[in-house]
This record gives sequence, C-alpha cells and structure tokens, in this order.
Amino acid sequence: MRIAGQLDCRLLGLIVDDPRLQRVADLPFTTEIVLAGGTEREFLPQQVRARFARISRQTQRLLDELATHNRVGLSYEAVSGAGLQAVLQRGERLNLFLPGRVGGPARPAGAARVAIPRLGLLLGVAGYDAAIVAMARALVGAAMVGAVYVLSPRAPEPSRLQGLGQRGIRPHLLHQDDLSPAGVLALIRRSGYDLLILPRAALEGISPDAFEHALASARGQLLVVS
Amino acid sequence: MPDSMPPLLPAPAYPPLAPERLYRHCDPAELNFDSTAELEPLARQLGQERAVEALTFGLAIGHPGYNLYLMGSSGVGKRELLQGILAEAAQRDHHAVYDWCYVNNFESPDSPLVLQLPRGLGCELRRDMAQAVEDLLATLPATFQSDEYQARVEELSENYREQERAMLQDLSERAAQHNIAMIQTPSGYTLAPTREGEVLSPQDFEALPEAEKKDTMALIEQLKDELKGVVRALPGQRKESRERFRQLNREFSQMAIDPLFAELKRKYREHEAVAAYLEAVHNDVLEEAEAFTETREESAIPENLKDRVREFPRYSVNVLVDNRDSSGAPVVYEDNPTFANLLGRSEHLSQMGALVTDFTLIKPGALHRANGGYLVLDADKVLTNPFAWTGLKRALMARELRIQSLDAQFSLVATVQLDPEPVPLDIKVLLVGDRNLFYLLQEYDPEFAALFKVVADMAEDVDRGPESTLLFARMLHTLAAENNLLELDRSAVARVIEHAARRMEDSAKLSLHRGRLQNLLAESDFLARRAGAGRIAASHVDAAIEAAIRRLDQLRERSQEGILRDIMLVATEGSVVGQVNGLSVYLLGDYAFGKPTRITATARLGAGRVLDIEREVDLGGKIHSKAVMIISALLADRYARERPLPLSASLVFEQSYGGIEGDSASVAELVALVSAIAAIPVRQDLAVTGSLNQHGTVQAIGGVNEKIEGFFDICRVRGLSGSQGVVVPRANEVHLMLRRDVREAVSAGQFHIYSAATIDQALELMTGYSVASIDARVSARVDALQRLARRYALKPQDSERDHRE
Repeated sequence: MRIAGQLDCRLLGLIVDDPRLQRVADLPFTTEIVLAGGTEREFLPQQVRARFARISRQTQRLLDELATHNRVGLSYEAVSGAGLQAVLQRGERLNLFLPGRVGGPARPAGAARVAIPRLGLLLGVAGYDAAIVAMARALVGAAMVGAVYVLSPRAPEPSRLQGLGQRGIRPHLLHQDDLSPAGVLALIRRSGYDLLILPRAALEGISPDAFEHALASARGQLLVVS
Repeated sequence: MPDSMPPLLPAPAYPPLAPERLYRHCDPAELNFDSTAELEPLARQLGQERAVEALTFGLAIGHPGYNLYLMGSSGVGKRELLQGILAEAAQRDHHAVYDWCYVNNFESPDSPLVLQLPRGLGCELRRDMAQAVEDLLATLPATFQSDEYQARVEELSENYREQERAMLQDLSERAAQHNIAMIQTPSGYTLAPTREGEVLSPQDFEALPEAEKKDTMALIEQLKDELKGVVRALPGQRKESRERFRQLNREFSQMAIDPLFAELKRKYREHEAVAAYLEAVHNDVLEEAEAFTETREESAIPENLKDRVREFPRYSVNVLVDNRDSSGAPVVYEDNPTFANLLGRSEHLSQMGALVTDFTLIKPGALHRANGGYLVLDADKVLTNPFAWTGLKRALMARELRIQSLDAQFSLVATVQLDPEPVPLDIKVLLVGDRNLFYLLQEYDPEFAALFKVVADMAEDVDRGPESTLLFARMLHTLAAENNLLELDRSAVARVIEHAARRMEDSAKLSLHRGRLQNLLAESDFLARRAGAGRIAASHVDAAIEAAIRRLDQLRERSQEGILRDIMLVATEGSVVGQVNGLSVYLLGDYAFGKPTRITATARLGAGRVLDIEREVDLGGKIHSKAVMIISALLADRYARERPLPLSASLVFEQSYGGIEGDSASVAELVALVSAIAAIPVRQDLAVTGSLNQHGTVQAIGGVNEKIEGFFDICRVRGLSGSQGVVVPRANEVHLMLRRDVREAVSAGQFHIYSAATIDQALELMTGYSVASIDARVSARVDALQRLARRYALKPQDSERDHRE
C-alpha cells in the first residue's frame, strides 16, 4: 500500500479462484495434509468454498483498511485459474505485486526499520529500465529504502541511475548476466532482496508452475513491471 | 503550753559574710592583653582533655565494636570538638577507601552485584561501559549489514529453502510420474489423480476400471504417508536452520564484540571482580547482539548514539559511592538519620501503572558514603526514627550493608523486590548525645554496649585559675573569629569569665558551655555594633545578660508581684512561731529564678510522726519525702533518744499548688518544727536554705545565688530594713556569685548573708536564741507531752482531769 501510495498508483486486487482445488475437493476420497503438524483432514467442497470466501473476505477487509489509511484507490476482481498462471494472464498489462510467502526460513539479524531494507532492480531488459528506475527513485525519495542493488548484465550509465543516490544511499552495482528463465528463477528463488523489481519480459519462457515454485521459495516480494 | 518553760537566751552574734566573699571578680588588670585580637586561637577546645583522649583512642583502635558515643549536655560543643578531631583523623587514616558500584547480575537480575574499586575507578568503569555500548551500537549494525554477512545468510537460507523445496519437489515429481498431482492448498497440500495434466472429475474417476481405481487409491495413500513424513520433518529442519543462523550471528557478533571487550578486560585485569563482570557482560552481549543491530536513519549521527546508550541500562554501572575527589577517609554527618537515609534504598519508577525497579535505582545511604571512614549521628534522632536504630545495629553487627525495603519486610503481599549483594562495611560510627540517653542505652540495650565500647565524656566546666583564665580568653577569641564577631576588650573578657562562673554556680569554675558563650558573644556583638563600638566592652556584655534575663523574666515578675501584693503570703519582718521563710528555685530551661516560700509547722500530742502534707497529697517528690524522714530522725535523735517522742507534727509549703521536690528546704523545715514544738518565734526578716543529714550537718544545695536574689528582690521592693538576709550552707560559700545590687546592699549593711555548717548555727541565726536554751525548751516541752501521753494512756478521764488541773 505504501509503495502504491508513493508511486501514485491505483491497486487492483486479483482474487484467484483456482478451479483445480474445487475439482479436487469434489473427489470423494481426497484429503488435505496440513503443513502445521503434518496432520490429515477432510477436503470437502463446501469447506473449500467456505474457506476461500472467508480468506477473501478477511483479506479484502484488511486491504480496504490499508488502502483507506494510505489513500490508495483499490478495487477487486475475481479471476479463475491455476494460481499465478491466472494472475499473469489477467495482469498482462499491469504491474504485478507479489507478496512474499509466509513460513520461510528465519530472517537474519540486521533488519532495519525502513520498509524495504534491500531493494533489488533487475535492469538490462530493453524498454523497462526507465520505468524500473523511476519506481525505485520514488521509493528512495520516500525514505522507504535502506539500500539499492542494481543487477544488470552491463554496468548501466550513471545518468540512467540518476536519483537513486538520495538520502545517503549509494547504489550497489552487481553483475547479473544470466537473464535466462533459469537464471531469473534462481534470482527470484535466492533473492536476498526485500523487494525485487523486474521486467515482465524477464518472465517469458517461465512456466507458471516454475514461477510458482520459485515464488514459494522467495524471501522477499516481487514487483513485476509490465 | 505550761508556764514553767525554760527561758530563751540570746544567741551569740554571727558575723555575716563579707562582700568580697559573695563574688569572685576577674580583675581586667590581671589580663595581659588589651583585646582578644592579640591572642592566638585555641587549636583544641578548652578543658576537654578526657574527651579528646577517648576520641583519639576510639578512632585509632581497629577492633570491631569500638564505635564511639560522645556525650555532654546540649550546646557544650560536641559537634565542634568532633569536627576538628575527625578532620585530623581522616587525613591520618591509612585505611583504603573505595568506590562502590552496583552492576547487573545477568543470571539473577533481582540480585545486583557489588563491585569494590579503587578510588576514582567507579566513574571510569561507568564511562568505559557507556562507551562500549556506544561502540557496539556503531559497529554491530554495520557488521550485520555487510555483504559478507548477507551472503552467508543468503547461502544458509538458500540451502534450507532448497532442501525443503527439493523434498516436496521430489515427491511431487514422483507423484506426477504416476499421474497424481500434488496441489498446494491454502493450508498445505492435497493429492489428486490426473489425466493429461488435468485433475479427474468424480465422474471420470468413477468411469475408471476398478483395478485402476484401486491402484490409484493405494498410491495416493502411500504418497500421503510420504507427504506427511516430509511435512513433519519441516519443523525440525527449520529448527536446525534457526540454530545455524544463531551460530552465524554469534560468529559475526564475536568478530565485532571480542576486540572491544578484550581491550576492556586488559584494562581491568587486575581487578578480579570487574574482570568477572566484564566476562558476564561479554557473554550477554553475544546473546543479545541482535538488540544492537536495529539501525535508524539518524544513527549515523554520533550524538544520537549517546542517547541510544540509555536503551541498554543492563550494561550500565551504578556508581553508588564516588570517592575520586576526596582525600583521606570520608567523614559524613547525617542530620536526618531515617532508615533509608542511613542504609540506602532502591527506588521505583512507575511504568504503565506498575512500580518497577532495577539496580540502576539503588541509592546509597550515609553508611555507604562513610564506608572506610567516619559517620557522625545524633543519637536522639537515630532512636526516634522508626527502625533506624535496629537497622544501624544490624549493619554494624554483620559488618555489611544490605539494602532492604521496609515495605518488603512489612507488606502482606510479596512483591518483587531487589536483593542487592551486601556491601562490606568498615566504618566508625560516632553517636552524639546526652548522658541520660547513654546510661539508658547502657542499661537496657545489650547490643549498644557491644557496639559502642568507647564513651567520650565532655567536661562542662574547668577549674578557674590564671592559666585557665588566659585559655578561656583565647577561646573567646576563637569563638569571635569563627562567628565573625567583634573582638572583646579585657573588661569584656573579665565580665564573660565572671558570668561563666555564675553559670556554673561556682566561683572556682568556668562554664565550658560553648553554645551559651556563643550566644552571649553574639548578643554582645549586636549591642556593641549598634552602639558603634569597634570592640565588645563589659558594658555590652552586661547589657546582653540583662536583656536575656528580661526576655525570660516575666514569670518571675508575676510571682514576685503576687508576693508584693500579699496574694502569696511571705513575711519579711517580725517573728512568728512555727513559720519560716524557705527558698525555692524555678528552672525554666536555660533560665532560673528564686522565690521565697512560707513553710509552716504545727506540733501536738501524738504518736511521734512528722506528717509531710506535701507527700500525703502526692505533691511531694521522693527526695523531699526522704528529707522529711531525715528531719524526723534528727528530731528523735536530738530530743527523744531514750524516750518516746509523743508528738505529731505536720509540715507544709503554704500556698504551693504544684509539686515540691528536693531536700534544700530541710533546714527550714526543721527550724519550723522546733519552733512549733517549743513555741519559739522565728525571724521573718531572714530566709534560710540548706539540706540536712541525720546528724544535723547542713549540706550544700543548688541555686544558692538565685535563692538569695529572690528573697533580696522582695525585701528591696518593700524597703530594706537593714536586718534582712539569708542563711545558706557553709558548703555553698564557694558557689556564691551574687548580682551587683545584692553585693552593694551587703556592702551598705542593708542586707546580710550568713552561712551555717550545723543545724545549731541555723537555729541560732533563725531564732536569735542560743541553741542550748532552745534545746532546753524543746526538751521541757517533750517532757510535758510525755506526761500527758502517759496520763491518757492509763486513765483517759483522769488524764483529762489532770490536764485541766
């Protein structure tokens, strides 16, 4: 919400209804293995629907409060499909914010009190650098960033990074020459950045499942710029 | 009374005391200085050799229990004596004096630890610890933000993420090989059969052959078991991951922390307790390193780091006693010796409605501040402050200081309290008080005798002689200098010396009451300055004395007025049977005055008892009652040694409605009794005072000057007849220091002072008759009473007839 507020953007909440889960629940013998404790429980259609409705309601309520507080325009849209695949299809022309998954490994010490202690920018894909840098500049200017890391196959011209060096921040330039799907997946999976901004084009050739898996392992959040 | 009584014969003449015997002058001409400005100050208080010797001994002896009690009357100068002696002792004292600190006990925060450090090192340790925290705040965040650390964190995270992912991925792939999809749900995973990547619908599944359905179900069950195993293993892996992260953090923490603490430990290596404390701090910082790593944007500014140091009170040092600026042993005067002021306390802060405390809120008491040195306390104040005395004794007995709150001891609810490690106590306590208190404590408090083995008894006076006179003058100079007063000329010195003798009621002594002397000098100084004088003269001293008397004299004037208006009956001429002018003294704090009182006696046939009316109505004190019994014995011994004494007599102080105490009226009472028994008139132009023993010896009494002056004042106002005077014990001649107007009246032959050593002399003086004739008359009267008694004993009616005949 704060990022949207700083970037002066409206938000569209995509509520993904995966029909696969409903179909699985329709099968009379399916059960659910719960992550908390490894126990097995019923996986009934009405439970799935009720759970989805509850989670949607709670999430929307929380998001509404945050949107009001941050004065961000927010609307919702339900999409049906298999997880990220549905999101990617619907958000083909939208910038996508993908929150970090709960239950990752212990966060190391050194967490600062800024919103985004480490901001990663994946540059080097034609047509996206300016938009990505503009977003980063806005976040830095709003004092939301602790450190900026620019990942690029080639060292970008300094003029292109203008504005990132505010508030005592000196962008770190890191070499990232592998922009293949595997390389991008590895970057997402291993990312030590609290927020990684990458171009939509970098996801080309990556299956939704693979993206899903990489996202499941990601520590930080992603902002996919379209 | 029978007519045939022996005649009364005149007594021999008794010469009155010469005027020069009524006052011992101090001749200014004998003082070999013009003013006290020429004199050297006194280094030590005059006449206090005994007390000084005791104090010196008590302060030097090192055995336990040798604390001191300095006693003397209020104002004699106890504090001033102590200040001089303690200042010297403190400089001479070679005992080590330490700084005392409280620090956090990381294992048991309710029991802070005490550190004993050489003088001055307490503040240094506190400074070093604050600097250490500041350094940690500066370096630790950078350590955990370093690329190396981040890379190691990422490596560890990636390893564990990969392990988890691989476990699930492996199972998912194996399931997919058998057309089973492992699908993530909001809470976990589920397994479902698929065809060409799509989950089978219930209808499609039902349409499968039975065997395939059965195999699929069995496979799903098997995969479920494996999935459960994988999911249940995840927490263990995460726990291991967290432990590895902890080890990583400790490794990087040590890189930053160890050098800092190595330097501190090197600095304090010679102080074992500090070294142990630093080791504990080191370990705790390693455990709590994360707390130092919260960075803020403003933390780059050094000043804010100093502010942030306050967020870590657990590493601060509470310097309880700081002796860096003092030289010699500490000398502490505690003027408000409450329990907390003596033994220290732990304060509390209110936080969100609760009272909290920690070692930083421990405050020292006077015993802490004086540790290694000397503590001076007013005994009366210690004893009247609740629990202060018991607390002090406990600390001295145990030789340690334990801070305990009274509310913890007496509260019905056991709240969390601090229990700090006790501080070893090495101290000399000097109690200052009066004699009565000392003797009470000796009698009723056995611990007092064990803890205060040295008593220093201040003298109240010094013998008057040429040497002491000069020393006294030097003392006056010292007092004037200390109090910024004018110096005294020698006439003033002489007058003060005479007044000091008068205060002692002894012409051969000088009062050493420092407080009164200071007051007299201050008041004389005031009058001298008001008169524009550059020195205090005798006239200023006289005026100050008279003004002080006048301020307190109203009661005396009122009582004198009662006599002069004949409301209180006192005769000052003629002679009366059975009536004597006795003399009383009234003590009003620092002021006393005398007053004549009529004492009367009656005598009649009776059983041989002298009735003390004052005692019968509980207005007579024990000493007065004893005196009356002595009179009875003396009477019997003198007139009825071998025969019964068949009379009853009664004595009373007329118009006295308060208590009577003391034996100084026993001469007067015996004279009244003898007069009443034998109908011998007593001179009313004389007053008499004196104590008697059983053999008729007249003994000394107190307040002789005031008593004489009290009778003189009445006679003077009524008009001196030339025959009036006072009879005093011979033993009191040395105490005479009478007022100038009395002496002048004596010199003019208008008033007379007589002294008597025996009751015979007193009887002769008071009656004017020879004691032989008095005794004969009394004996005759006793004989007559005995005859009457015998008659009444055999035949009451015959006795009555004989009596009438």
